[in-house]
Amino acid sequence: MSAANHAAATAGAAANATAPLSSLAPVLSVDHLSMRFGGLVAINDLCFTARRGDITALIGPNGAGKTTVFNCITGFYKPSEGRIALQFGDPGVWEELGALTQRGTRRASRGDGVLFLLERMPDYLVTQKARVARTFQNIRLFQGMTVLENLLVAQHNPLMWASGYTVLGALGLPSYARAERSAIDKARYWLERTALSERADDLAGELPYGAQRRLEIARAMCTDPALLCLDEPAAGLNPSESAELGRYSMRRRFSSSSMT
Amino acid sequence: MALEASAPASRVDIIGALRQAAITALITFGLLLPLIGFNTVQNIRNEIVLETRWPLLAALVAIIAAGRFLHAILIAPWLARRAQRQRREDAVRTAPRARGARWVVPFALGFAAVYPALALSLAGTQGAVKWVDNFGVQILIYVMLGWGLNIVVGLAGLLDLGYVAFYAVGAYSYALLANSFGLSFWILLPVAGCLAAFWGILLGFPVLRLRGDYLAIVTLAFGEIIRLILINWVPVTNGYTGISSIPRPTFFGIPFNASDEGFAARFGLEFSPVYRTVFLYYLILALALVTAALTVRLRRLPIGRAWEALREDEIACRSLGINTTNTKLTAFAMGAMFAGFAGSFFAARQGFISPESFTFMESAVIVAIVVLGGMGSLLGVAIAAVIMIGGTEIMRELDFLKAVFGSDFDPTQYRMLLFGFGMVLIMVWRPRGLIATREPSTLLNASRSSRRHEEKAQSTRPSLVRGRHG
Ligand SMILES: Nc1ncnc2c1ncn2[C@@H]1O[C@H](COP(=O)(O)OP(=O)(O)O)[C@@H](O)[C@H]1O
Ligand SMILES: [Mg+2]
Repeated sequence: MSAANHAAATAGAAANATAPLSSLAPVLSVDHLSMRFGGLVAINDLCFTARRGDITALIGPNGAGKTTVFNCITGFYKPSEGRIALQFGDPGVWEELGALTQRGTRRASRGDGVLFLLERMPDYLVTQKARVARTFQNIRLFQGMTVLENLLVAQHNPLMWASGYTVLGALGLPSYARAERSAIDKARYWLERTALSERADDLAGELPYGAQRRLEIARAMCTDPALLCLDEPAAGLNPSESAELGRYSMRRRFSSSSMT
Repeated sequence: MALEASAPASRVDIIGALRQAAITALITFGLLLPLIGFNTVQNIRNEIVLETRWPLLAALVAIIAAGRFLHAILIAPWLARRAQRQRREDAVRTAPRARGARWVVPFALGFAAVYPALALSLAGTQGAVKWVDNFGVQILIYVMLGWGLNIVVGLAGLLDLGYVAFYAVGAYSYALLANSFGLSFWILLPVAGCLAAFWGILLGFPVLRLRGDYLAIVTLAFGEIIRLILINWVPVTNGYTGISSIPRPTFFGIPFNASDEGFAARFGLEFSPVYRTVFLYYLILALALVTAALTVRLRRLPIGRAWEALREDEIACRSLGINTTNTKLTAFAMGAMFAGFAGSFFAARQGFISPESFTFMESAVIVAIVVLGGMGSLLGVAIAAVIMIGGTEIMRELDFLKAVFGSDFDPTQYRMLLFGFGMVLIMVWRPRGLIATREPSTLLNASRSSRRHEEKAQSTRPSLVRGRHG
């Protein structure tokens, strides 16, 4: 098992071989991350960074702990040890990292740069404030809702704000109608990019497997992520579907993304 | 080949059915021999003697074997055919029923609006009180409770078995505040709603981490706690005796009584209790419609979508940055608030409340209404309320059955039996409730979607009521 862990760790560390698209500053920095489930060590002292505009891959055999790493990054698990820092805006804010770690708070800012310590945040805030989006190894769509509704749920927080936490929206103010229209526009944009426009009003559970994977990515993108974590995005797809997926991700140029 | 061979066989397989019946008879005989076949009785000298009851045993075995035989040759093939047909129908379900619903809603609303007039003209001023009160008002209270609980159970997917607690909070809030401070119904209605919502949030907090069965058990306990408080906090709630002489609602300040200031005198009418009943009817109709309108509205807002997303997959919700704690609490608070409104209306209508009215049975009936109606469907919930509550009231009217079954026969005692039976039937026929189709909250392309619904013939639709994640 420690061998498997080693594989995941080195794979992570060596994964930045892709040429940077914008700057060299990392968007995500994982230091000495460990996760133990009772006696089982799922992640052992993992260190890696992911740079903005890069596609960073985390590879390893089954049970190496890739999903566990994602669960730690996205706040679903509290790591036993280690630090997960995420930054956007001015990279100068990285200099605050030491002070922030000492301080015991979750957020530091300098200029327009913001730094978050993800292991200190509950899962929904990791997405809401630190703008990390993820997909799941076993697809988790809202199956009984339509494709479009799935993408609108992903824009919950800005829409909540626009609807004045429901009060103004319930009164039917035009500002909310505008916000919803622009949310639908954004959904339409991602539906086009994932070739799902035709099926926008179908139930998500009715889509074929490959389309469900694409929808999950589109849904994650609708949260405006700074970091997108795709857990086994190619699992269960046939080679042509995988190639198609690869094309989408290339074309889209996420600010940064991780893949298993 | 195999298919052709089995198809006619399954139609009339007398031999197979006989064999099934024989096996069942054998098992029944083995089971009942010690239970029914032998009986111990004490004789005069207090000795225990063994009696045998062969005729009874034989009769029971014969009945059960015959039943098994009939099941094998008639019911089982029929069920199989129906299941096959159902599978075909499932695929084409969305469009026609949605079109039907478009007519049902205006018709139902129109009927609800003219119902008191109809009752008055058909049953006369005296007879109408019963029809408007027992049927109209009673059903509408449950329609409103069903619609309120629908937010919690149907939309947010949180199984709440203690819903009647909030109904009780609303009723007691109105009764106590009206009696001790003399405030009017119109002021206390929102107050009762707010208090119930507050209790909804209070209950919501400890149970946030629970889902499914665990949540159901805790909410059930909460309902019982509230009832026990009402029973035992005698100085305030008057215990089992309850609270009486609760002020009745007024027609915007004009009381419904026989005095010169009363409604009838003011409007130059002859005094009759029917005016108050009709007023109460329209009041609860308005309250129920407000509940429905707000639900429809909220479903199109982010909070409503978040509720439904929560029902579908809570973990995915959190991965999208949705604060599931707040989302659940708003669902609890909303549902509780409507129960509070209904509760204060109930207290004002009865003029008397006691903990008797807020037992677990009430919660069970409301949950049954929501589940039978189809979780999330307003129309389905309303239909289920009409069937269940209207059915109960109808049973009170079936006096002719006394002629058949004897004078001490009370049909209402068989209410629960019939409910249970109906519940089983519905769960077999329509496992997702009477109306299982869900209107999408938004459509990207409304015109194209109608075409799309026609195309649904090929694709099947996943069940809305799925196993929950622990
Ligand atoms: N919640 C958990 N409780 C206990 N053990 C877990 C939990 N999650 C993951 N593990 C264990 O951690 C190890 C890594 O699992 P995982 O991260 O799913 O691997 P991968 O995604 O690389 O296939 C496995 O041995 C798994 O059994
Ligand atoms: Mg995995």
